[in-house]
Amino acid sequence: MVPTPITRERWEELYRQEFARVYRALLAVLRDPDRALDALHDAFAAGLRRPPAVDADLSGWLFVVAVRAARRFPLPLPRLDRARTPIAKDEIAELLDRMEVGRLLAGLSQRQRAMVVAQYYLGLDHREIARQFGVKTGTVSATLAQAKARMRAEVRNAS
Amino acid sequence: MLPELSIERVFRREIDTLPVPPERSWVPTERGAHSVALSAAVIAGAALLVIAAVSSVLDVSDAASAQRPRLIGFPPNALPRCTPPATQTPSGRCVAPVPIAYRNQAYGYNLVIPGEWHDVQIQIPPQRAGGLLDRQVFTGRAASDWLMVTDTTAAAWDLDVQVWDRRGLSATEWSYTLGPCDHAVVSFGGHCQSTTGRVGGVDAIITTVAVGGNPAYTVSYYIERGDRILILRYVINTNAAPPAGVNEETLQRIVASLGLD
Repeated sequence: MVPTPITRERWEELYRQEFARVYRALLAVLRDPDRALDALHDAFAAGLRRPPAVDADLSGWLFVVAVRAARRFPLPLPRLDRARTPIAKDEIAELLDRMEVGRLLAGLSQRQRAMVVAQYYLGLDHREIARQFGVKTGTVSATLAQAKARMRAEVRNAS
Repeated sequence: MLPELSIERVFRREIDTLPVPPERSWVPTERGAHSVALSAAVIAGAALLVIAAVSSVLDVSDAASAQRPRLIGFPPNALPRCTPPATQTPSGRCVAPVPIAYRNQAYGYNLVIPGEWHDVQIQIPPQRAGGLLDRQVFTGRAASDWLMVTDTTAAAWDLDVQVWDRRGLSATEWSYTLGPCDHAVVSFGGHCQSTTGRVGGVDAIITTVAVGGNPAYTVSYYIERGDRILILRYVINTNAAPPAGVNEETLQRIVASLGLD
């Protein structure tokens, strides 16, 4: 639960609490540590400008805002004094390819991956995913059903 | 089959093992505990010292060699190649101009630009000023090659520095109302990305706007300075050849050298 209005200090504190979980979720979706970090920074900035609603699930909110930012603009941002993540992109891709999760997600679209990760990793229900992504609950159900079908096919092919 | 609980377990167990970056990089504005301006000044200073030292050593060596017959010369294809903007002298050494410290006294900012760059003050017709107080364009092009600027944006690969009357708007408000992120120009949710960063030791709003379908994008830095706003902007367009030796890093280095009163 996020109080409103929110101070920068409070926002930063809440953001830090959720960082690791949301960052990992973004890595699973974007497969790129720099894009994941840039996207999460965008979500932080967006929250400073317009904090999430009081009853919003904070990790879900950060995740969706970051996914949107990454999808909206795939170009890298200027670096200047921005610290880079020491994690190599190839390293993450290899790591995900070795994981069952990585293989399951690899066959999905970015939107499907985002919704699957929101449900199975961040624990959001369909209603919350719909609210965060700004779509109807039926759209979420359909997208997730398609994604699960693909994942099942992936499991069948692998076995 | 994939039972729901099993999927959840696999997702949580595996995704939780993915690495996270160091904590210092988590929050955008906290990164880089030291001032960018200070770093830039130190780097520029170090560069000046190195250039001065190399030049004096080479000058001494040239003077000495002038007094004695040259015994062995470099065959032409063995001469070291110089990376632009450095040029090669007949003796084979690479010479680069010393960086220029630019000072805008009236609006209280400094920049370090490469030695072969120059600034162009844009005359602002009073009837079109609309709050624009000052505008300088920094370019690596020769004066004869310098291109036209539009009302808001200089040519690709130039750095456009504008000072505006802030009119009570914050840097964030400026970034999405009076620049290339203007919703009237860029469809909302389209190609404008905004973030925060530190430039000149202060917070800045940084926007990157793609020009639909083109391999071009505009990067703008918005910095509040009392009742004014300072905007640094450049356009990267891979379809437009940059001046020799200029790339996005050149422009970022100039921006990072910003010093404010």
